[in-house]
Amino acid sequence: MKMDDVLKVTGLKKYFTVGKNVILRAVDGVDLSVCRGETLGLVGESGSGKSTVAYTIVGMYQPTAGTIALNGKNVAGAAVRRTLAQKGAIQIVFQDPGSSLNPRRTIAQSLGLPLRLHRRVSARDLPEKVAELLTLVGLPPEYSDRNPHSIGGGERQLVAVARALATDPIVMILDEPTSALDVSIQAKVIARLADLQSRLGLSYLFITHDLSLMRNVASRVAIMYLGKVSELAPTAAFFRDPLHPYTRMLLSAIPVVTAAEEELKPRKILSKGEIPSPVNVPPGCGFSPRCPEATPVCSKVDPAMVQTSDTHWVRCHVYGATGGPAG
Amino acid sequence: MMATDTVLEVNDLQVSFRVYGGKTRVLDGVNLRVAKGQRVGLVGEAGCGKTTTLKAIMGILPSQAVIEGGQILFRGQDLLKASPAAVQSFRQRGAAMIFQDPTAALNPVFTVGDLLQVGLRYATESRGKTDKAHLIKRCAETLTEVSLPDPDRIMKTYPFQLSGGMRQRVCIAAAMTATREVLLADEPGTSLDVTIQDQILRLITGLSETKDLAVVLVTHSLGVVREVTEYVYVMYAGVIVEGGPTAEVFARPLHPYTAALMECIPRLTGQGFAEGIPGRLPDYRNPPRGCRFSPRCPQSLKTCGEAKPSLLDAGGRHMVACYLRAR
Amino acid sequence: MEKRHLFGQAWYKFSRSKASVVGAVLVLIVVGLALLAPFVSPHPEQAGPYVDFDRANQSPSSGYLLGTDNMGRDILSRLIFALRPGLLMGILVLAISVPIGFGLGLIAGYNRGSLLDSLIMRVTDIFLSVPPLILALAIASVLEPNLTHAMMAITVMWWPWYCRLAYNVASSIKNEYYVRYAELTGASTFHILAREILPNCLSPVLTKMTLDMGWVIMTGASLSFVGLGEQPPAPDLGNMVSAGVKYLPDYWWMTVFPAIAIVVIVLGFNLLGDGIRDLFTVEEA
Repeated sequence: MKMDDVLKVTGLKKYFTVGKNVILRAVDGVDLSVCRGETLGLVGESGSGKSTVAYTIVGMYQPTAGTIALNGKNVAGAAVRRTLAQKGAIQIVFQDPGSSLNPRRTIAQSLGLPLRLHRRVSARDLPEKVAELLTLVGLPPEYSDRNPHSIGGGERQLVAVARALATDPIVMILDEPTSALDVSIQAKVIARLADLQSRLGLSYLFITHDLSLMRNVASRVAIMYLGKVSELAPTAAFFRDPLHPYTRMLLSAIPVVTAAEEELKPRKILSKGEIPSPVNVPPGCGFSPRCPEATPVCSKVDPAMVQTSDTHWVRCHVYGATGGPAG
Repeated sequence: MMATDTVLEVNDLQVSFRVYGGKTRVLDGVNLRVAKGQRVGLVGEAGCGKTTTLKAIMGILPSQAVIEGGQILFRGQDLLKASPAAVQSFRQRGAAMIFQDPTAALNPVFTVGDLLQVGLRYATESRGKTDKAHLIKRCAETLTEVSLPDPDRIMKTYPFQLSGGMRQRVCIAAAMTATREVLLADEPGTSLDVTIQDQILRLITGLSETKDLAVVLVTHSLGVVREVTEYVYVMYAGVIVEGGPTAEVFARPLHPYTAALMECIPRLTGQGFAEGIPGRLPDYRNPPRGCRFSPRCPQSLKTCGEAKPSLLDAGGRHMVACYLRAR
Repeated sequence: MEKRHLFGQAWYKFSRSKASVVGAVLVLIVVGLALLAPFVSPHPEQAGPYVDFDRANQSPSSGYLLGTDNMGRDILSRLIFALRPGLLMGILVLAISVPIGFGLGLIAGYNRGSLLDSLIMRVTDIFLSVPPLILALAIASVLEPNLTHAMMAITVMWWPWYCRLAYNVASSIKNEYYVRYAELTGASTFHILAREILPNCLSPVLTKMTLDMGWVIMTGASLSFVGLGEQPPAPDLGNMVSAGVKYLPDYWWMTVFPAIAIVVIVLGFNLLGDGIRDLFTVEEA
């Protein structure tokens, strides 16, 4: 384990029981780590489990198994079991700017909650601290008295970021923070997030399905499918040399705007089929029913993570040592 | 100017909405033209009026909308001045619309078969009685055309039993049961995963080619426009600011807004992207007198704020509404 | 623009529906009449114990616009005074049953799936399973028949509806991201219930309260129709209707006018309730 891992997730599993004897394996053995000051990107489509990973890390769910180490200390468990300091150290920004802020409370009230709880700001100092937070994220302090619906989606997300920063966090989990925003607003929010990261030394776990965005914000990328990480690599290697068939399928499907980017995409793999429900995980490798390179062993044995280079891991039989899945 | 094959034409459409304290002048001169079998993109950010334009064409604007001026010509007939019967006929046989959220667009208490038959029955009603068997056969055929396997089984299922991608296909099938000339697609892939969106867009492209179907594709994603359309209109704050062959507009965006928008798009090549466009959308209650983009435009001249620029020919079917290009 | 024009914006939204405005006007009239009863009724003294057999059973005339009853009392004046116990009942019943029901429903909804939830909601179910009027009749008949006891009976049967309403709204709101955030960040349960969830539950509750005013009044009239509410000679919409029933169809005005008054009241509050609901609806662009 690297000494400056601020967040290290090992063997994380989260299963939900939905009905009689039916288990939804949302997260099925995930290992991740985020170093100080870096942005780890987590990519996946719906049903991949990426949001569940985020919610489990932040404490919304109790993990079924696994550890979540924050600066070395295991905090795995629902938020109610964590100390206040731990709650403040890991913060999350949600995907939907419409429902992440209480529509019936002003921005000052929404920001006041973490300020009062975590930094014990008195009522007298509150307006000043709220104004400071707003300025930090690039919003005018006059927004304190406004309601969320009177400001735009991008600005609401910035308020959500400000709220997350109010507790002086170490790690911020950003769950698709700009997916609901237009491109020009997204650009503003991302720029602000990058600025804050460098100024405050924050570490980000950045979740999105937009690979083009990921290319520009993350230093390492992990891609998830049906509850497991199927590939993990530094960003440049991930995009230049995608190994896993799912990664290649995804990359070949994204719409891009220039011919130069088109060149970069892997040869078009016509995606067929859809991601199965995590209630019904196919035997063996979860991707095998849709995989253009599937071999007989793929539908029988679930591959383990294989390290193909210093920093590149992939979970696929194609890269396993000959004679079966690698250790 | 265009080939005589024009199926749908919108000329200088102006739409306002009655609100407290006056009116919001949402659309202020929308011009577009679609030829038979042509795929045209209408791209713009949230709040620019693209959905309002589509709804105006279909005649499904809410009650507080007021059409202040302009024409909507379908095969030469102005729908805004036509009789209700003619407008009904247009909706039954002329054009169909598919929406962003397929779940919300399908009535959950009807089976897929019921939903498809209703549309088909209305479309063929005036052509004499059609028997049920024929209707069902045609609906099953349509399901096959949209690549849904096992149509007979699907006809008996309810929308909630289908995945998002399949629901969107059902919506497209519903639009295709009767022969139509125009398909209005409002962000059809936005709520779907990237790989599924890719499938849906390829489906629409295929249908357009085989059935000579004109498509107006509304989206905020420039990547999607580049992949699917042959001609694109860029919209800002209720005005068409640029129009041209897709490849041409992407290679040489003439309008400052288009250029700025392109700069904000994250690139797969990883070269970073701009920090957004300064400023905000204008207040529709009190829109700027001249060009609506001028308050945010880095190159605006004095004339820009005084009089609205009209769409000028910039050569090769490329049009732009900007004084900077008029010189 | 925001705060200053709050009332103007509210009125704009509300007045888009003509029916709601009609409702508002009707309610204003009813409330106004009730408040100013002694000053607007032509014969205020006849709203109490009063007898004038010479004038009994007269059909509507210039001095007695809605006629007189079997004791010779002016029906119009009695009607105006009868609005008072009706409205009072509506206000008091709701003032007590709504906080109790809403509070319980809020707690149960937030703790959905727990033992507390089951406890509260099963008790609610028991109350809801008894036909409301029967329940009120049963309670009112055990106690001495008067207005207070009728109010108590109606309160007991009314709170479960608010409990169920609050339960449904609260259990869906508790999944909203802002509530989850408050939990994750360590907010107290009180804060979450009172500051995060409650304000978002208000709109359906306020709408229902407005609609319910009419229905509580009508239930109260039903009770006093069978003699379990306000007792004569004090005028009450229900007991006026029942007093006149045996004189139908000859002296129809004794029954018909109070009955119409009940209809108008319920209608007024219903239309007003629709308008209140529109006020809270956020419109799609």
